[in-house]
Amino acid sequence: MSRPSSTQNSGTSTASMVAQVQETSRAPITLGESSLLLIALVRIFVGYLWFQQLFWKLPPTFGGLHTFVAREVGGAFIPGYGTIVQNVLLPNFGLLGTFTFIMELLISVSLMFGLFSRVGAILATVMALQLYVGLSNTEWYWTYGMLVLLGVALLPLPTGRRLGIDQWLAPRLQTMTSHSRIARLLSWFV
Amino acid sequence: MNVTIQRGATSGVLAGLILGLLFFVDYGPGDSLLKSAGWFGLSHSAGAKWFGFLILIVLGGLFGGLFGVLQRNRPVELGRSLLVGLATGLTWWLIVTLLIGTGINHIKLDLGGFLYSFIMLLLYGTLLGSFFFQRSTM
Repeated sequence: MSRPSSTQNSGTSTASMVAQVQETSRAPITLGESSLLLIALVRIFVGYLWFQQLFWKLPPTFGGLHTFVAREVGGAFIPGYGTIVQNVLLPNFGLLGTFTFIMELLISVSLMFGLFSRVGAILATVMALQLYVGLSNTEWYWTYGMLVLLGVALLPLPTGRRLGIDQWLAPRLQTMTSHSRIARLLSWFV
Repeated sequence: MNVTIQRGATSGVLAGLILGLLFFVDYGPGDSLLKSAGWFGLSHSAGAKWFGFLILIVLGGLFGGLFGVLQRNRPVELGRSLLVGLATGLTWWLIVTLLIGTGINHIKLDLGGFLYSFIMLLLYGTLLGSFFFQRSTM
């Protein structure tokens, strides 16, 4: 026994509608110009957050950094981390201070100028994770958690392609990817 | 006024406004705005923070106009806009921070002072070049 054609048509159109909805929900999302500008502004402000933190740990003494590193000895929530800080990092504080200052300067420049902005986001996430492990028990727990998430949020987005130097770099690296492995690698970071 | 100069000036005002907002996000709030007021020896006056904020916008517009003059009668290219923008930010730093701030008003330019003003004014330059390109091509 065959179904009436109107029922068949209705079944077919429902199926095609479901397929269309599924396809649309899986389609890549293209951000509009104003959204791109907004995330570029967020990137600049996050970069500035790191930039401001340079000024209380300026070389050659690295100012207040010692207090916070010392706090990690008792504050870290991973067993043994405090021991490493006490026996390895604190005795080599000059080296640690230089490394921290350079890393934070790199994060600032990368994020504020939109220059290989994903490198800045990766470094920001790693540095913030270290702070989270060492200090989150000593202050409001989410302070460093949010700092980690800010870095993570900037990681998947090409935030430097508006209001940043990546906007100039990206198409140039893209054209070089077919014959340069370095360009292929670098193009991931813009 | 030539449309390129006008576009440069408005891009400069926008870049200066973002710089002002960044200077505002600080302990205080807005303690960093005293630095820009200090370039003209006004960091101890009443309303110094407001003056510092205004300076960034006004100078942003003026240097943006200068940027527009340099870009006049040339095709708009992102690379050139960014480069001329960075050069404009550097010029602002040399004239206002170094010459007027340090030379005339005797602001101490230690590592922190240098780093803050230099990087922030290069950021202004990048934003200026970027805004100019966006506004010219959209």
